[in-house]
Parts: sequence; C-alpha cells; structure tokens
Amino acid sequence: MSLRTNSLFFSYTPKNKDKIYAIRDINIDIPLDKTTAIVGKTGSGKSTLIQTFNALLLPTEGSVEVANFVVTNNRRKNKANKDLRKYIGIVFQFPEYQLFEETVLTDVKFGPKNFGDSDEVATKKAKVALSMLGIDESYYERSPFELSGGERRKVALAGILAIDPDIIIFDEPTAGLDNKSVDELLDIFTNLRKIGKTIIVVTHDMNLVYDFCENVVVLENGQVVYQGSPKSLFSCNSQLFSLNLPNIVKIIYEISKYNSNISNSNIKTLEEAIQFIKEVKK
Amino acid sequence: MNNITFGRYTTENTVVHKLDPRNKIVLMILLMITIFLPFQVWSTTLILTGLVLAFLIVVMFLSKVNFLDLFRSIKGMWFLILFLMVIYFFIPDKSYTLPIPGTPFYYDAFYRCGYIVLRLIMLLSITTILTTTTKPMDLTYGLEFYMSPLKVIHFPSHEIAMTLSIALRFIPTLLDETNRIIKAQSSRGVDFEHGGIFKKFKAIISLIIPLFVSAIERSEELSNAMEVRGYNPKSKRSRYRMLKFHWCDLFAFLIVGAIFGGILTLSIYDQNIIQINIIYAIFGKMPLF
Ligand SMILES: Nc1ncnc2c1ncn2[C@@H]1O[C@H](COP(=O)(O)OP(=O)(O)OP(=O)(O)O)[C@@H](O)[C@H]1O
Ligand SMILES: [Mg+2]
Repeated sequence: MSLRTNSLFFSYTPKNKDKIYAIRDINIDIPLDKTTAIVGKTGSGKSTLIQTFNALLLPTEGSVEVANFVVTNNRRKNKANKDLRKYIGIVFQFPEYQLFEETVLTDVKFGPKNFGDSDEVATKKAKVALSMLGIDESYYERSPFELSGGERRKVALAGILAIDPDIIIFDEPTAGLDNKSVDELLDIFTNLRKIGKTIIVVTHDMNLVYDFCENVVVLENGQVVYQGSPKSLFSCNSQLFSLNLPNIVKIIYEISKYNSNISNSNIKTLEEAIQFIKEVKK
Repeated sequence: MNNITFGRYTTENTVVHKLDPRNKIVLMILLMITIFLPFQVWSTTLILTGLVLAFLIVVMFLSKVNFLDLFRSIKGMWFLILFLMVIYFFIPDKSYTLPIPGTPFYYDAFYRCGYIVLRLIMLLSITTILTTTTKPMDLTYGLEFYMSPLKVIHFPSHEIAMTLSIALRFIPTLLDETNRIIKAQSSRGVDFEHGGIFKKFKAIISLIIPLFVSAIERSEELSNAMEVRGYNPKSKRSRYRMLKFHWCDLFAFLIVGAIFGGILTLSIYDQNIIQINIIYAIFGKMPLF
C-alpha cells in the first residue's frame, strides 16, 4: 500500500500564459507503513504538495493515487472527495484557527458528524480523541476561545483525530512549540502509529526527521531532489539541499574527527552516541 | 475568492497615475453624479451616457487599466441582470414603449435593464480607474485632507483615515485567511459547494467565526505593535511624501468639470433637444423611442 503521485504539476495561476508551477513533475511513492517526512526550504512547495493529496488543491497536470482514490484535474471524476478527506486528514499549521463551536466537545464532534456519524458515535470518537491528547472532561463544556494557545491547538488536533482518518498529514506541527510540547506531540505520533495510522509530516525540524521518520522526501523549487531513508540522506552530503543537520549527525561528525574507526555507520541514534562517549571516557 | 482583482494598484507611470489623489477623488465623485443625472427622454440619456462611456474608455486606455479584470468583475453581475430583467418584464413602464408583438411584455424591460447595467458598468469602471491608478495610502491621505476641516469640531479625521488605510491593507490578508480556513474546514468534511440551506448555513458559520476571531486577534496584535512603537493618534504627524497639485491636475479638472457642467445643465433644462434634432435625423422616427 502506498500513496503515489504521477508526474504531478500544480500551478496557482493555471490560466496565465507563463504559468509558474509551485510543484513540478513530482513522482513519489510514499509507503503507508512508514512515517514520512517532507522537508525543504520555505516556498519549496511542501504545503502545496500535501494539499493535492486530499484534493484540497486539484493537480494542474498528473495525478495522485492512494487506496481506491485518484485525484486528477477533472472535477467530475473526483466525486469521492469527501471519502478521500475522511481517509486522509490534514492538520494545518496553526490549526487553532479552525475552531468555531461553542464548546470544546461540540467542536471536536463537528468533523465526525460531517462525515455522517450519529451524535452518539461522534461524541464517543471525540472523547477518545480528546483523551488521547490529554484533555480531560473538565474541558468539554468550556468555550474553545477561552483556552490557552497550546490547549486550543490540542483541541483542533483532536478535531482531526476524531474523524479517524487512516492517513494523517501534519503541516509543520512543531512550529512555535516549546520542547515539552514537542515531546508530547511525539508521544501522540507514537500512539497514532501504534493504532495503525500513517503519519506524514511536513517539517523544518531535522532532529524530528532523523529520530522519528523512516522515509523522507526533499523538495527544492517544487521538485523532488531526494527520496529515501533519513539516515542515508544525512550520511551523504545533506548540505547539498541546504538542510540543517540533525544534532546527532553533528555529534558523530565531531567524534569521527578524533577517532577514525568511527563513521556514521557505527552510530545511528543518540543513545548509541552517548554509549560511545561513555566508553571513550572509561 | 481569488478573482477579486477590483481595486489592485498597478505600478505604471501614466498621466492618470500622476494626478493628485485629492483631485482624483473629486473627479470621481463628479463623474459618478454625472452618470446618475436623470433625463426625461431615453434618447437624451442614451446619447449622454454614450458620451461619458466613451470618455471613460479613453481614460481607461490612458491609465492602462486591465480590461480583462474589468470584464471579469462585470461577468459577476449576471445574476443582477437576470433579476432586473424579470422585475421589469412584470412591471413595465407602458408610457413610452411598445409591446413585444405576440407577448404580454414590453420592450421597456430591455431598455431599463440595459441602462441600469450600463450605469453599473460605468460605476465599476470609474472606481477601477481610481483604484488601479492610486495607491491605497494616497487615497486615504486624500480622504484625510477633505475631512481635516472637521477637526475643528473634534471629528477624528486622522483616526478614520488611518483605520481606512489599515482596512485596505488587510483585505488581501483576510482573503488569504479565508482561503486557509476554507481548506481547514474542508478537511473536517465541510462541503462549501453542495448541500441544502441548513448545511450551507453551518458551513458559512464554520468559516465566519474563525475569520472574525483571527481578524480580531490580528487587530489586537497590530494595535499593540503600533503602541509599542510609540504611535499616538493625537500627535502632529509629518509625511514622507507630500501631495502636489500639477498642471495636468488642472487640465483633468477642466475636462471632467466641462462634462459634468454640460450634462448637469442639460439635465436641468431637459428640453428633448437632442432627441428631436439628432436622433430623428439619424434614425428616423423609430417605434422604440
Ligand atoms: N495561495 C497561493 N497563491 C499563489 N501562490 C501561492 C499560494 N500559496 C503558495 N504559493 C506559492 O507556491 C510556492 C510554494 O508554496 P508552499 O506554501 O507550498 O511552500 P512551502 O514549502 O509550504 O513553504 P513554507 O515552508 O514557508 O510553508 C511558493 O512560491 C508560494 O509563493
Ligand atoms: Mg507551508
């Protein structure tokens, strides 16, 4: 099972003569049993790409194929959009701006009900999603607008999780979060993976990519310049793509200066690096 | 949502761009009044409207207005046109037009509807000319200038001008925001295109509330940012760019003034002069008029 794109092009101004493509000739194959990161400089087309995945943007040329869904330029063929959006959920950057209901619970219920769940089922799903994010019952009847920014973001996240999509895409989820919140988010990701959800995450955080993702797609100027495992991305010269190096890779690099036996093939995780340093100290 | 091009300033260097915004505001108002001056006879109206339309087209060419954009905004009026047609078909003014043979309807519907549409198009053209050739900031300076005498009676003219310019500045931002929220809610299964009245209503609510919330939050941020940087509406302000009155301003004023004055005079002493002398001479006595 995978999500595939076939020579996917997208332009925000398709009617112009000299149209500029935000993404060009994308052919990627995202395996659904792995966690995938999409990285690249600002303006490289990451957000545009993920929005074609659930037909929020229709490709100018080419197509996206996932499960039985095909997203193409043809509006009429995309009748199953609603089912597709139930299958793939997108959590946008600053999702807290999508809240609008009077209480936290009704807002989280909004999604499932749109996709045809009865009030009872929706309530159940909402409560599961909220508890997954550590929001307890005392919040249910409060107005989302009187919560703190972080809490609001969690409620908005619950609003997508409650829909129970098979694939969940996060657009820069760690932007503006403190370390503790990032850790909490990673726990949520881990839980989601455990219950069989596919996670695709757009991010600038290379540590997140290195520690958490098994597959990475690098975009540059709307084109894919790398697709594969993060380990091999960072072991080859990743500065090629003007990406930051993950801290662990920097550490290994420094260590390898002093010990020629060491190369990044020996040490892959932070734990291994700590272990190694302890041994050297002995 | 994205085709709202109406009102986008273009960086050209035409004569019309160079005119003083204060002058342009006055000229715009004069032309708008001209368009809506009433006449008793159709032919007079048509001739004079044609005259103003021709003038506007010339000015539009001069100021390099994007005609495509204008057509696009005009296209958006089809519903209004249809609506007017229906209304006028059922309440015709029978005093001067003939019935359409074989039907209970009168030709009148076409005239009145056409005329109203024409006037709307002209109105749209005038505002388009103004906004494509004048920076929003300059426009608000112009407005502030006309409101400044009211300061004597403690009318907050500067504050109003400032508010206006900020509002103008935020229109594109709000459109972006609208787009973003539409996408976010679509991901939650909202269908903005299909569905019955209740569904549509709910869809709109799910758009409007977040939009208001973010607009209010944004405005609070902005006002804080302004205060932090020492903005004080009461203090006397100097300006980076002073507005100047050029010779071409006087010239433009004379032309528009002549058109306005001429048509106003004709409107007051509406003697059917044009109808009798010109129309009949050209077309003969037509049943339409
Ligand atoms: N609504 C829009 N209208 C027109 N052009 C757009 C729009 N949104 C994005 N673009 C353009 O498309 C290109 C890709 O934008 P996109 O938002 O996909 O980048 P991104 O990789 O997500 O960047 P970031 O990391 O800053 O979020 C950019 O050049 C941008 O200017
Ligand atoms: Mg983005």
